[in-house]
Amino acid sequence: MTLQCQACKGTYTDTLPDGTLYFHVCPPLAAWEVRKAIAANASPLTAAQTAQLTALDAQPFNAANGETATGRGDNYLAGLGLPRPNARNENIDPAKIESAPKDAQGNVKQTVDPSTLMISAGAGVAPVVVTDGVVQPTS
Amino acid sequence: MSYPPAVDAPRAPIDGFDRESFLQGPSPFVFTLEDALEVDTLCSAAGVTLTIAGVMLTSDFQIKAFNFQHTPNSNRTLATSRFHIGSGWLLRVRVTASAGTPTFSRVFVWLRTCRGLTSAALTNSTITSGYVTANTDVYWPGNVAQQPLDGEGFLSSVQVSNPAAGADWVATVPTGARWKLTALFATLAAANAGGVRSVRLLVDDGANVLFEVPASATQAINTTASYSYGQGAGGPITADAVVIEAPLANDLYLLAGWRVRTATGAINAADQWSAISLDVTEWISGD
Repeated sequence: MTLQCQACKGTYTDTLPDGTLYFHVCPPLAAWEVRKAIAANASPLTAAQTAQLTALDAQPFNAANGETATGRGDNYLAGLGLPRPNARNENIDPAKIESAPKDAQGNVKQTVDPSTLMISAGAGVAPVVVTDGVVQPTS
Repeated sequence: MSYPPAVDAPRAPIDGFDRESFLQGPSPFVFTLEDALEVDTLCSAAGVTLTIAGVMLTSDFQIKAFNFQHTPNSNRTLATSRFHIGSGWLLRVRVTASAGTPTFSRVFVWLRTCRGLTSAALTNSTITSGYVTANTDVYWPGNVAQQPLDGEGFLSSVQVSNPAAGADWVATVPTGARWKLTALFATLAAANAGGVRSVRLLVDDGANVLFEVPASATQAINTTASYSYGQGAGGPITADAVVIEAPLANDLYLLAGWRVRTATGAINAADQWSAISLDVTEWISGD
């Protein structure tokens, strides 16, 4: 089944061709997303990171080499890997396995919703169809 | 000094023998009615059912076969089944995949003895352990017990989520897995705006960067380029602005929760990463 994460809008199939389950994790914020948040007075940066970004943005650049005014700062922000708000991480949280309801043999009950065992369900997912790169919800 | 009184060893007629025999315990695994056989599995393959078949010499000296089934989880979490197999000595046992077609390093099995059948059972020995495949079994006696990180691993092609436009991609080692990253491929369609794109590949432990390697070339706007990273990869054989390759560290082992991701300098909100595939060797981590 193809799914779209409602936090990052990434698309993926929940099972790999060899039958292995795939566990989606949202990518970090892109540099332009961080700058957009800064412009909206919702900066995810610490004071030290803000100072570092300001210093990098103030450095001279060589437009003839394809550099831009924000290039060094963008590289810095991309490397930070700042988490996306309400991010989804489908990997299993061992602590949630420990505390989940168990059957008599000590296994997690089959009735337990798998999303409750994830590290973070985030904003959830929706089934979609992807055709030539265009994402459409399933009817 | 006093000694405990001598106890007669069991003597009785045995099926198939024409005289009374003396038995010194034919197996180190002796079961009473309080004991049980425990099967523990860690599995990354879907649709697998295991059959556990064996033979007991019962306490009344009958040869009795047993046979039961166990369904592993497919998400690398522990699944446990316990079965009474009667009282007596375990003579032989084997575990086979009776449903599904698991390959090596995907279904790890421990055969153990325990007291009790519930989650409160006391596990008190391991008979054998190892990986079961569609065509190979785990058995006792004679099997060399393995640990989950033993063996050549499972070669997997991992298709990573396509991120939304303007975002980098990330792949995380699943809970319960150990990866060795051998190669990866991805495609970046750069929009006709902004500056040249400079792609870096990062490996981190979820927080701290452990390895970072820039692509061997930058990518111009309004182009679509493929990126290949691989162990042993050198520079490009011929200069190609849209086929970009770079080396990976050899023996790049990754623990659960560690991430492989790109950090694309000057990524534009309309840029699109796609066709992201990792070539990994995977083991069940067992931790």
